[in-house]
Amino acid sequence: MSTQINTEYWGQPVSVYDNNNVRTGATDLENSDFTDYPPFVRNDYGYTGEDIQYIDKGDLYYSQLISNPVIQLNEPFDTSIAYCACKNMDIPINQIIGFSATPGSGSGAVIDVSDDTYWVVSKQEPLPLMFLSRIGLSNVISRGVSASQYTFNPEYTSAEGYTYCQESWCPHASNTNPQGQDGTPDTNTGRGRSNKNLFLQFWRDFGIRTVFLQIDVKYFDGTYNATLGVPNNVTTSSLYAYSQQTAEWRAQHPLLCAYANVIRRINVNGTYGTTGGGGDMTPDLTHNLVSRFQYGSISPNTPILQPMAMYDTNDLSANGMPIFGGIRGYRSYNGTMGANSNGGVSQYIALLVGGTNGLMTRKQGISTSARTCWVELEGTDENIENIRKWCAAYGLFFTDGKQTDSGYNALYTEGNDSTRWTDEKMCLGVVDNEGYTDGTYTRGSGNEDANNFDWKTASQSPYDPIKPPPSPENTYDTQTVFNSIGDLATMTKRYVLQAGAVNLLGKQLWNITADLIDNGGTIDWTDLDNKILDQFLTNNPIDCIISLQRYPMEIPKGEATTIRLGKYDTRLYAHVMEKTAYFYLFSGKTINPKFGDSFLDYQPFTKMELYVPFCGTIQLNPADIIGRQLNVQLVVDFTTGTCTGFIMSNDLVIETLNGNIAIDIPVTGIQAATVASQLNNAIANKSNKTLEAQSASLGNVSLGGLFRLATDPVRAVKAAEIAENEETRAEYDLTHQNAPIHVIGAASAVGGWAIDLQCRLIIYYPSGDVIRTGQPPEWNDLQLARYGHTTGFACCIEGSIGSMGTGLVVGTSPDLNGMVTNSQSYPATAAELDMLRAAISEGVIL
Amino acid sequence: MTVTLYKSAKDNRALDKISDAAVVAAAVPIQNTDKINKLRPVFELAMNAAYMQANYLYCDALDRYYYITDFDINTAQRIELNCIIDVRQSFSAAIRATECTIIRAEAIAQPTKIIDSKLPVNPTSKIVTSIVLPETSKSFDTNAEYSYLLTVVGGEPSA
Repeated sequence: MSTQINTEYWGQPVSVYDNNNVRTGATDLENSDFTDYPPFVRNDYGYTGEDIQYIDKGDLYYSQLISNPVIQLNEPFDTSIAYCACKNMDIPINQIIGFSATPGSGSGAVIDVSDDTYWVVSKQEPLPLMFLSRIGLSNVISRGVSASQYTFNPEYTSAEGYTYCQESWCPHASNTNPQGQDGTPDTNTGRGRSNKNLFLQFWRDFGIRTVFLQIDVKYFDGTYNATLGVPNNVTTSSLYAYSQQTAEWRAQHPLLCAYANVIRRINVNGTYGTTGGGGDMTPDLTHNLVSRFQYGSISPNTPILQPMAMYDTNDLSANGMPIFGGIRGYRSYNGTMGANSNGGVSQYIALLVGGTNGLMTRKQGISTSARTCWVELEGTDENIENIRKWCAAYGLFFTDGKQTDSGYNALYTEGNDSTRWTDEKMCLGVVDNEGYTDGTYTRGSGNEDANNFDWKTASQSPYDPIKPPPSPENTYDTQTVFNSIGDLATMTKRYVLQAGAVNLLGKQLWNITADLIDNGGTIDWTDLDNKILDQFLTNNPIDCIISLQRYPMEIPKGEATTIRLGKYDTRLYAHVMEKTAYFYLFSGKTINPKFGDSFLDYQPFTKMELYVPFCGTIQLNPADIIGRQLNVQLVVDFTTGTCTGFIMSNDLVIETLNGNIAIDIPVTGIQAATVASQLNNAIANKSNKTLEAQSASLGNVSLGGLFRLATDPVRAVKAAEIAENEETRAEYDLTHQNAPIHVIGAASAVGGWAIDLQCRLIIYYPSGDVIRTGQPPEWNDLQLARYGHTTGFACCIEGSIGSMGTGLVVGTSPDLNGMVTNSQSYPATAAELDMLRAAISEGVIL
Repeated sequence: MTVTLYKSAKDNRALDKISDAAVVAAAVPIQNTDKINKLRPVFELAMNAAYMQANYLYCDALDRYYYITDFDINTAQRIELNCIIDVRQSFSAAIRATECTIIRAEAIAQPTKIIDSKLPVNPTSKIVTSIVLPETSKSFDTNAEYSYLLTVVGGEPSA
C-alpha cells in the first residue's frame, strides 16, 4: 500500500530517490496545489525538472510538475456534490452518461454532449456523487470529456480557452493528464494547464448486450515472470466479449479483467508479454489480487467505435481505485521515464483505442502507444464484490466464473446459446427504465427477471433522453388464488343416497305409524300424538326434510349410517356427506386467432361466448383470451346446490357466473308451485327483451341501408351489437339471477343436465363474403393477395416508403424535405410537392 | 432539349414505369416555338407515325417524366404531345426515401390489427363454431349412483 507523507512535510525539502533507492535530488513538496486537497491528498512524490524521482517511502510512482506549477485548485474538492463535465452552458446537456466516484476519493461525472467540441467542467448540483458508476446507455458516441481551467481562466479569452480545452482534453488529441496538467506548456505563460475540478473521464457507449464481460478472478499461484515481474498465471487472457449483434465471441475485450496476483506497483509500460515490460514491478506477497486492464483487438463489426477509459484521480490502492480506473505513474523497465517530451510522470489516463493491441496510456506529451496497465487491488471479498458492481454498472452480462468453470466454458463455446444467460455463473447488471445502472445485479435464473434481459440492441432500451422518465411500473400479479374450502358447520344432517334409498324413504314416510307400532311395542293409543311429536318435534314428519337434491356426479360420501328424521330412525342406510364443495377444472385450450391475429379476430368482427355447464353462457372479449389459455374452474356448492364458474385467462379470473347444478326434488306441492311461478316470470322477461332487440336491429338496417352496412362493417356490426345489448342483458339477468328459493331447483339445473356437460367456447367469426352474389363464402389467399395489391392492407408504420418492400404503399403525412429528381438535377417545386403529397396519399407501387 | 418516348404498360401509381417499357424513340429533339410549361408541357416533334405508340416520355432538359395524355398533329407535319408530369417516376428515388406514416401496404400480405374499413365484411354472415374445453379433473355423470343429497333435521349435524 502506498505510504503518504505526513502533511508536516509540506513545503519542506524532501529527498527523492529513484527506483534503486538512489537519492537523486530534493525538492519542496508543493503544498498549495490542488493535490493537497481531498481527494488528491497524495504527498509522496516529488518532481524536479525533466526528471522523475521517487521518494523512498512511497510505494507508488507519482510526480508533480513543480517547476511549472499547475494552477492551484481554488477550492476544496467537495465530495458531497458531483462535478460534471458539461458543455458550454448555452448548449443543453444531452444526457448524463455516468458518474464514477467513490466517496471521499473523487472521480468524475461524464456528460454526453454528443459532439467533440469544447468542454467545461462545472459543479452539477444537486446530483450527489455516486459511489458506483452509473452508466447511461445510449447510442450516442462521444470521444470523451474533461475540462480545463482555461475555460474560466481570465488570462485568456473564452475562445482561446475553448481551444485549449479541445486540444488538451479530448482524448484523441490528449496531451493531458487527469490532474489537469497539460503536457504542452502554454506558449503564453509557460505553465502547464490544469483542470480546476480535476476530472477527466473518457467514455464511449455501446449497445446493450453488445458485449459480454467476463471477469475471471484468479488467485495468485506464487510464481512470477522474473523479467516482467508479473504473475505467471495471467498469461492467458480471461476476458471475453460476446457480441450479440454478430453472435461472435472475441477473445479479448477492451474493458476490464481482474486477476488475482501480487503486484504492488503499476506498470504502464509496454504490453504485457511483449517488449518493454515493467521491470520495476515488485511483487508483494501481502496482496493477492490485482486488476489488469487488458485490451485486445476489436472486431471491425463491433459497435465499439471510440476510445474509452475510466479514470480515478485518487488512490491506487484497493480502496479507491475503480476497476477501470486510470493509471498513476509510469516507469519503464529500467527505471527511467518512458517517452514523454515533457518528462512529466503523473496521472496517466488509460485509453482504449482502436488498434490491435494494448491499452494505450496517455500522459503528458506521450505519443500514442500501446500499454498494459496494472493496478493494485487486494483480493478481498469486498473488492471482488466491488468488481462485480463496477461491471454491473455497465448493465451488461458478466460472469465471475473462472475459466475452468463448466458454465463459463460452455458460454465460451456456445456463445450464442442464450440459455446460458441463466447460468449461475452469469450476472446481469440491473438497468432501470431510465437506462441507468447502480451497480446492482442479478444472477443465474434471476437474470430472467431483469429489465434488460431480452434487450438485443441499445435501441431496445426504453431510455430516451428526449422523453421524460417513464412512470414507475405497477407490480402485476397475474394469478388468481383459489382457496380450499373446509367443512361447514351446519345444524342439519346430510346424507348421500342412491335412487333406491330415496324411494324407500318416500315409502317410509307414509308408514311411520305402523313402523312405530312395529318397533315401539305396545301402542298407547291415548298418547299417540305425543309419541309422534316426540319423534319429529312437529306433527308432520316431512317438515324434518329440508331438501332433497340430485347432483350430476358421485357425491363424495363418508361412512354409512341410518337416516334419522328428527329422533326417528328410519333404519334406511345412507352415507354421510363428506365435503362441502367440489372443484371442477376445464382447461387446456389456448385460443388462437383465426385471421392471423388481425382486427378480424377481435370485436366487433369476432364474438366469443363461453358456455359453462349449469351456468349458461357469457360473452367474452376475444382480446382477453386470444393467445392465452382459457380455463374454467367450476365450484359446486353442496350446501345450496348452486355452482360458480370462474373463467380464467391463463391463471387470472376475468369473469364469473353462477348457476344451479342440483335438481331440487320438491317434497311438497307448495314449494313446486312457487318455483314454477318465478320461472315463468323470468322466461317472460327474456322474451320481451328479445323482441325489443329484434325491433331495434331492423330499424337500424332500414336506416343505414344494406349497402352502407356492407361497406362500413364497423358501423354495421356495431349497430347490430347495440341492438343486441338489451337482449344480452336480459339473458344475463336470467342466467345470473339467484334462485328465489335455494333449496328448490330451477330450470337451468334441469336444462343443464340435458345438454353439454363441458365448457364450450362458441365463436362467431366474420365471413368474407360480400353482399353480392357469386362470391366465395370466405376470403382465401388469392382474394387477400388481390386485395392487398389493389387496396393494400391497413397498417400504421412509421418509416420510409422504400422500406416496405414491393407492391402498393399508401402513406400519409410525408416528410418531403429534400425532394429532388432522380438525377438530383432539380428540386421539386411547390406544385410538385403538392402532387407528391397527393401521390403518396393515393399510393405508390414499389 | 430532347425527349425520349416510351411505351409503358405500368399503373400510374408505379414508381418505376420505364425499366421494362419499350423505347419508342430516344433523344428526339423538340421543335417547340412557344413556351413550355413544366407541369403540363406540350412537346412538338417532327411527325413520325411511330411516335403515336408512345404514352410516356422523359425530357432531359426538364429532368422530368411525363404522361402523354393526348396528341395533336398539326398542319406543319408536327406531332404535338400533350403531357402531364409524373412526379412518381421523376422523384422515385426521393419517394422511396421519404419518411411518412404508412397506412396501407401490400407487402404486409395479410390483415393487421388495424381495423380496415375497406375490407369487405358481411355483418350478417358469420361462421359459427366452437372449441370444447375438456374436463381435466373430475367428470360429471348424470347416471351416478350416489347422486342424491338429503338434508334433514335430526340426528347428529354433519358437514
